[in-house]
Amino acid sequence: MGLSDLGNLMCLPFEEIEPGEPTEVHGYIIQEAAKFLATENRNWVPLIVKQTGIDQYQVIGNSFVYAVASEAEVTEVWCIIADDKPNTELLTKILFQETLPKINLSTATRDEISNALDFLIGLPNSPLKGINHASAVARIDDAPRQYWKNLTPITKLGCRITLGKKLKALEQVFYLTPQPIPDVITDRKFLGSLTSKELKAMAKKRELKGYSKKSKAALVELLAS
Amino acid sequence: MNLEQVLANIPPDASEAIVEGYFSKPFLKALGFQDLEIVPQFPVTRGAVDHAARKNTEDDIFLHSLKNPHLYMEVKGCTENLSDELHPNYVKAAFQLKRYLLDPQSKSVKWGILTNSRHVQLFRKHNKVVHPVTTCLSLEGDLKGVIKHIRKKLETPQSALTIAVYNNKGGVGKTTTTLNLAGILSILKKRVLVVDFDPNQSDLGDALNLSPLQGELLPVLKDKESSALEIIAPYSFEHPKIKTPLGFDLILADEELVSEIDEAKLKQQIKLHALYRLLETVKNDYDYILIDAPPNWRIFAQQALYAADVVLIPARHDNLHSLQNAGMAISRFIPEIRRERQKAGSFGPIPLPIFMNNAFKVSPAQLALMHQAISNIIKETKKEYKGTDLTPYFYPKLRRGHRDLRVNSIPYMAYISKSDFLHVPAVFAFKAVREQYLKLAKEYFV
Repeated sequence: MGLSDLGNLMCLPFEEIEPGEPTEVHGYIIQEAAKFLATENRNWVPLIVKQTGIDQYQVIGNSFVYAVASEAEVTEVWCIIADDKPNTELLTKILFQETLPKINLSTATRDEISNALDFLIGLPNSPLKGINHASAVARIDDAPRQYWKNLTPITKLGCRITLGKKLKALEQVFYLTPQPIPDVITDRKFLGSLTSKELKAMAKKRELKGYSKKSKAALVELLAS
Repeated sequence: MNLEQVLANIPPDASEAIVEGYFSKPFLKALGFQDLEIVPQFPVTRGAVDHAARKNTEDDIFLHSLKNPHLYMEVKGCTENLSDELHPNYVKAAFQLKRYLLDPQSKSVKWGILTNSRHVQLFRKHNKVVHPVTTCLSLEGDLKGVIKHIRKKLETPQSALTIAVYNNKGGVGKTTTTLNLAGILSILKKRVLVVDFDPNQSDLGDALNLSPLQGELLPVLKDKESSALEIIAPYSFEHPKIKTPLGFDLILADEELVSEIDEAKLKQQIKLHALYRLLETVKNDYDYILIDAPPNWRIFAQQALYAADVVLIPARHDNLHSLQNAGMAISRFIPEIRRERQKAGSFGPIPLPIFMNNAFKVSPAQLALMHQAISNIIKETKKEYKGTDLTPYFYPKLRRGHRDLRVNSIPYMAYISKSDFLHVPAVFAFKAVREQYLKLAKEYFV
């Protein structure tokens, strides 16, 4: 047997464990669960902790059990010792539904976007209530999202997702890894999403002629051809 | 050793590894693939399929490039029962093969084979749809015949997927679905043929302001030599904003078949496979053939289902009978038609998951009522048609340990009925409708 405690189920003194991110579960559930735990005296669902020093641990997942144990004033808690990689902590939190898994909107498939939006719209008190799911999915999927640096362009797609609460809600599930915009780009949709000023700068860079007095539509046409 | 000898030497209780090691390669070779064209343990996003194969071209050896696989083969041990479609072994294996075929890495794959060296079944993949092409064929009898049969299917692929839109309850939106699905597929640059096979209503032609056929359909259905091209009419939609007109081809309903409604007489003249045979003549001219079937279980509906690869069943969440009828189609009518098709050597139509059409905003109470009704239908069907499980057709997203009761649906939109008055498919006229049907098309087909 190795010397490491990694992966082991251990009964640790409660005072050696530091809380991680506190749980936001309602006090009623914590208190009643604590009463129950106090009578049973063993948490069969363990805490997930990482070791931070000799006889020092920190919760990385299932902080609900920590809160209950604290309320029940138990002296020992059953824990699983996990490693201290950041991804371990993230996965543990995702598996306990303490945090939401995110998808990369720069590369996500239509199905992934559709699923994520369906989830967000269906949340209780979702600010996205009333958003047309089919429209939002179609427009986001179709947009040149591989170049987006942030989610703001979604507000220009006309699917009633506006700056503020609604866009904030999307940030819960989407992140971006934008590609650099290539020097020569002919995607009309993407060009259309830029301002005239940006388009003119682009035309200058490509050393095209006669762009200075053109309207936006004509600029898009010039750059796309 | 030839394939017959190989088969004779495989022990009756051979494990998956033995079948894979001894049987797979000779079998794929018998189907026409050579040495550098077969790759074992071909990786997909999650896991690896037992074998992938593709014909080599001059500058692209499949074994080296590992790109664009054409066929997947999933192998099981001899003791796993693949001859009974209701057996858990078969259900699990078929589900696994389907998952590999629909993997994002498998875009180029057209065929799937499931085998345990005793039985073999061929599946076809058409974009998002995977459907069996043959029944579970036994390799113990006429081996040469089976190989020839599968080889023929592989060598003569058809580009079209034939979809019958059917529910024997009326008013669930079959015509609307057919029309708008055809519209959205044509927007997605697919070649589409629509067959209005409901002479009693001929609503589809009406919706586009086209007049029905006058007696041309019957002779074409009767005559073995005639081609569907004789009665196909184009429909095109032009708009100043779009450069190339959108549209699809149509076979309209025939008015004369209404007056000649005497079913018995019609049955004497047209065979069950008449429409199937007619559509065979144009299956390489289209990507999708959509048949608008009438709401009953008489000759036209039967022919429509007989001609189909898959059956799309619209229902309404607030209409109990439409749900019951959807269940009835899956447990009774489609298997009935399938038995007829299997006599002719192919698998026959499979139902796609039911979708709820015209769903108003549904309150939780209504939803609970619907789930209750569906669970009753599932229970009754299980009892009456032993073993038939409707659950995956009502709840396609349900998995073991995950009670995901989301159903596919299209919401009620005033635009849709409005567009009937404009004589244009709603998807061409209204963006909101287009996006809804795009969702449906992406969910099921593209």
